[in-house]
Amino acid sequence: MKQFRARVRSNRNIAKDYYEMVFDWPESAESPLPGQFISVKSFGTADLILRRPFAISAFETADGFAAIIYQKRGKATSMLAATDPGELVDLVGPLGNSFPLTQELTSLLVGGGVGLGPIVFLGSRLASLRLRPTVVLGFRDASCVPTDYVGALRFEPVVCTDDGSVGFHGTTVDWLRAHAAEGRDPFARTSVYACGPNAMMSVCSDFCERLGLPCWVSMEQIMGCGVGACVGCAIPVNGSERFARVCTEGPVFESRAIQWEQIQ
Amino acid sequence: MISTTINGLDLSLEIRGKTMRNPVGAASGTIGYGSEYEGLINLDRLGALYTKAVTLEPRPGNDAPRIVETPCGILNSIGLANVGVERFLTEKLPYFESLECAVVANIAGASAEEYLEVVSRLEAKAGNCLWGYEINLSCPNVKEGCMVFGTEASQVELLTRAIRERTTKPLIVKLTPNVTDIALMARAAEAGGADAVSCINTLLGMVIDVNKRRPILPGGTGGLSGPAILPVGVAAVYRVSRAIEIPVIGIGGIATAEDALQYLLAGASAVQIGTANFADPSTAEKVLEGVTAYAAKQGFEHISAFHGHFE
Repeated sequence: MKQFRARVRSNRNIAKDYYEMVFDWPESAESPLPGQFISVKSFGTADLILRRPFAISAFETADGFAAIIYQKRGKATSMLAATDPGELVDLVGPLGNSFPLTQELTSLLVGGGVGLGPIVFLGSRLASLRLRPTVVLGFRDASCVPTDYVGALRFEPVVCTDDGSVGFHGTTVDWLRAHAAEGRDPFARTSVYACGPNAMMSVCSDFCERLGLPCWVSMEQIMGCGVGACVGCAIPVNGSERFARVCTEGPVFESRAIQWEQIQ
Repeated sequence: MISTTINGLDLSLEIRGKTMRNPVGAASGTIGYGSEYEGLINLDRLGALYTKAVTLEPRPGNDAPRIVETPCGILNSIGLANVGVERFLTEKLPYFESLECAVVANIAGASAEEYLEVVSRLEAKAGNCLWGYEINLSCPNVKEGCMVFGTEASQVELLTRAIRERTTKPLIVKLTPNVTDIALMARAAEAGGADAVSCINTLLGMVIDVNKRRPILPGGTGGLSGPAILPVGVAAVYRVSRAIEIPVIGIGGIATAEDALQYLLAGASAVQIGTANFADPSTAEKVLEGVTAYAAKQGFEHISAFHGHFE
């Protein structure tokens, strides 16, 4: 991990409140892995003092860039959205652990809303290894679907909307259930990777547990340091330690390790 | 050999015969056990590293969420999550040995006995890996110990004296601002045999989620830190440094060299960078450079010159 200033290459609105920021990734920094994140401090104001963590959504060694997808929902992300190409952003990364790649035959990737970032990164990585992942992305409605962005990916994801305005009518887990009901065990020897709202990941975790599928989730929590020092980003987990730091033991956890009923 | 001179300026501080080679430290609770920041902070440039508070047994900490951002600050309720003294000795100590800065163990407990037991075990096994102790009488986020002791002058004096009897290492008492007169607590620490005081720990605060109509932190309150508390800390150091003879270490909201200079001019002999480590891990290094440049420009030869030049 390293602190560096990166030049922004592009910063564009890809759907309703969703943005993709692409920035230079220096050779001197470690190559980020799917699941890892960076923390950003570039809000041009003294009253916001915490860095903000964002999962990496793309990384290209040859071109020397990485990207994040974020949702404009408060002061910090509004300021981030106002960053122009050519400007510098203060980054620390890569941080956290990454999605483990297993020996299972197939991978099922589930992204909800802004949680699509790390899912897309993992999907691209698996696609480049010719592993043909099944990627399911869920959104509230058509206005939240980053159509052009999704269309340019190296794989073709299943798009679901809660209101049915685009793609499958229902949540990502509704899609999983519908698919599971088709019989002949469509998810045999499948590893599941999920990132999205806690409610979505919790249901996804239940679904996988019932089918006996290994499931990894990428968690979010307000962070202080982002490097494991302050223990501020703890989430409740099973086991004697009771809590785990999202920034260092995570953000990727085995879904069974999380105490979902304790998570708001 | 520790170099204490930068550009002809002696920045060192001596406490109980032990040297802190420069006045810029990293505050307990924000720097972990140091190794977490490997690659981000050059710990060898620090004057001192104040460890995460260590208690007798490991503590899991408080329920989540533990941090909420506030205007120019953060409110935290970590709850002294730490590995406990045994793992501190086996897992953390070897790393401290590799560091050039003074490593100060911050000590917390739910009872006087717990503080004493932690100090005794560190005295028995830590040897010279630890430079000294900072006694946490000021954490506002636990039900027992800490601030409960730190808000009663008689308790501050008793506990400081009891710990004093168990160590010859530098003993720093970390004070809480959540009292009617912090100078009374500083005098009590001095009377108990402290070699210095750290001032201030976090201020008690609360943030309410108006939609859920309840505090955001599960325990209700937390400790406020960050630039929001800078003037509070400076005022406390100003008052405390005039009430006692022992050195005062200023903490609270330092993010720039100018912030640190305010503390040094107000009467602090050293400072600690806390919350700013999160925002910019290079803060301590920048503060040290700025303080050095300022002192050189003013023609100061030693850090103590700051105090004599305050109008």
